[in-house]
Amino acid sequence: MRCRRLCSLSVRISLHFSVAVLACSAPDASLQDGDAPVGSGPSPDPSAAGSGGSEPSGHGTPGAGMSDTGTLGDGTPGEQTSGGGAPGAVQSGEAVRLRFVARVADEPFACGTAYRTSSGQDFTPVDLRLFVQDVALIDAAGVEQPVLLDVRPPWQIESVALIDFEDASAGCLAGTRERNLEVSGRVPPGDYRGIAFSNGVPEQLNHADPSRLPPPLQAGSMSWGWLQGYRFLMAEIAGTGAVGDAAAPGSALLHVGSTACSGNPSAGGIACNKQNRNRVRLLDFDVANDAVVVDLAALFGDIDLASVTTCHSSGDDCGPLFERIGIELDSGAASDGQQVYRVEPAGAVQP
Amino acid sequence: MSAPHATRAPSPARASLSRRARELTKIMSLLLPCAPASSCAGSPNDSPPAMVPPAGDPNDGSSGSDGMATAPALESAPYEWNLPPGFPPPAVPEDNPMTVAKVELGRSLFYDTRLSDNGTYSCGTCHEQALAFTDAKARAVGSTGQMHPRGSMSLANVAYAATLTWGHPYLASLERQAQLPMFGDTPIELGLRSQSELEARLASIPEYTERFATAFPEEAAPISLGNAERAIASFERSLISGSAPFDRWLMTGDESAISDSAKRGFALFNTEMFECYHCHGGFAFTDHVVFADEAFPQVLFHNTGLYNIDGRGGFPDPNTGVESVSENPADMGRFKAPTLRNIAVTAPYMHDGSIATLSEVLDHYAAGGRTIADGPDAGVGSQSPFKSNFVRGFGMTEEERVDLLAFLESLTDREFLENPAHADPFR
Repeated sequence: MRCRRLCSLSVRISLHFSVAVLACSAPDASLQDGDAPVGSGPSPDPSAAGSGGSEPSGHGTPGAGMSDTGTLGDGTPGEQTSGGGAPGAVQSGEAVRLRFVARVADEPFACGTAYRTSSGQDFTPVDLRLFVQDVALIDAAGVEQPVLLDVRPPWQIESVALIDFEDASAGCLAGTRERNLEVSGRVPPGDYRGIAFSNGVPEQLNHADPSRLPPPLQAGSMSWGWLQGYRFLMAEIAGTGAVGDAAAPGSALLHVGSTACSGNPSAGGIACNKQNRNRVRLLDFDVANDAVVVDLAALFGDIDLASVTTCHSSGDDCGPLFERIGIELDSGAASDGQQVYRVEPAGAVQP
Repeated sequence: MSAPHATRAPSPARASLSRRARELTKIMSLLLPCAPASSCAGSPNDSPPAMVPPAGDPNDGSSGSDGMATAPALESAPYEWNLPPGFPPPAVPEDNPMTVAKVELGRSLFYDTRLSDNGTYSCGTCHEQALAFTDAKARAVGSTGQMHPRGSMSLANVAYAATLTWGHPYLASLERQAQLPMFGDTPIELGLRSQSELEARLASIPEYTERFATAFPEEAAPISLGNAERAIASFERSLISGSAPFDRWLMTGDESAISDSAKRGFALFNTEMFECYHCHGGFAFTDHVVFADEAFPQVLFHNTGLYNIDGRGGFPDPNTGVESVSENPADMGRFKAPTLRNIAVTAPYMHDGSIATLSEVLDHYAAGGRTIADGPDAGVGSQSPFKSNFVRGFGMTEEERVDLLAFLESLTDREFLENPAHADPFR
């Protein structure tokens, strides 16, 4: 039978054009969509130790791990750690709890609370959630020792943890009731003086299908369907003044994620020109007694809430916000001088 | 549908028009990287293709008013595409083969307002069958009232879409695309908060417990977001439109199927002067297609000179097309060519609904780009540096306009728009 193809009407003039399909840049590309465990929880495979650290980042922070070697306990070993810690040593290392606290300047962060910008405009939080990857402790010599995260559903897998400060109350409408204020894991015994981490989801997992990943990577507010990746950090506030009041009704929003991407998620993966992963290094951090503070005022405190500031990781509104979170807007590389994180004695702020 | 041909004087050339058009088809068939003729219609295992699309589906909309009931005996039946002539087998993901059970489950999920956080919206709210799965709005409105920057796209033949949405270079999986309206918050569409909440909600509905188990029989925990996506995607892939009057004329030689005016319009459509077919050619009337066993799949996007707000080709934010994802300046204003099938029922037009009628769309292309005289979007689109070479402008007589419109209207597929297999089972 002769096939009369209506499809034959098409003349594909632009045969020379095709979208570049970039190979997955992750060191081990074995974990593609089709390989991810379906509907199962993470399997705690200690051989994934060391997933947190790797080559120095080259952004003026010697030893900063930026490996992006995400693992799901599939036996994929991470790269060699810059600190020389063998994976086996981490497995038998000591347990650590790394506490995170949110503040607005010196006040505790809470949904529904009214705060004031430096110019006297009132606002209330809408969201504050962030992923941390490549968590490391910094020893007395300034060397980072990767922390192997506990598998702690729904908040952590070996390579990434979700810190969630909002509780879905009051103005935090898009959130979930549950909160998570700590990262737990293991490090080799040592004399640690500092902490380092990046806001991010390891590149190897960042573009996988959330519906096939365990929590905290399942689909929801932190999965960024439009960019086929994750929001590494989500911070939002809303002005509480009525229109026309001195207190303004504007808002500010920061969603950080990898951008300027191309490729095909199901054929080789997506590669992003702008990784947009920061690298936070806090010295003088006492693991037992201190907490990492995320200061919403340091991020948004001087924003003019007469207008709407929206940063979806590109565009003019992002400039100052990216600088404060420690990312170069133009390149997407980590930059020095982040202002949002600091160290504080944990006891003073435990909610 | 209007019948402009009824008032038209007979043209001496019209007798040869359809023959010429089919000769054109033959010539072009040599240029298309299409699979061998034997596999061009229907999958290799299919019975010979019939003209009638899935209207003959066994699940003919006889399900109960709860939208849930299906005929159990048919659940395990393999899905019969019944593809129209000329339609190649769609590319279906290996891990989501089409089955009757999945298509039917997907239909229920597609129309189920319990898939929105506030219970008011389903996929079908913005994708109405009678409008070829669009919503007649310039820009879509989400379940909480937030406005989307772009309009709801037709889902006709979405199984063949190389990428999804208006201008996204790598959003290619129908399964995964479903997560955007579910969980997206810029703007909020269905407004779901989390995968676990959705899965708990689905699991609390006894009918779904049963139907997920039937559709995914090998699985211990069949109710999952992933399986909901697979079912919805299967339903979407079943939305095949290829039974318009135009198809009856072209494929069966029924000269009475469309007017002479429409036949003349089709001939104009295929001329180098009007250039329509370059981007809107092929069985799907778009170049943005992919199908099974395709030798050289391509992903094409075009800037049609719709805007030029800064003299440098700028499109109004946030609708900058592929550029908004790639951040490559050369991608400014590049969108995919939507299908022309059922185009007469999907007004208003363009990604932002900024052109109200098909006649005005023709004006836009005749001018080689749109000129906006004043306001924030003012600019001369025809002078955009990013404009496609195919949008060069053309002279168009009023008769030619009428003929082109008649042709476009001949692509309205009533069988598709009224097919009970695609309808809301909750009604």
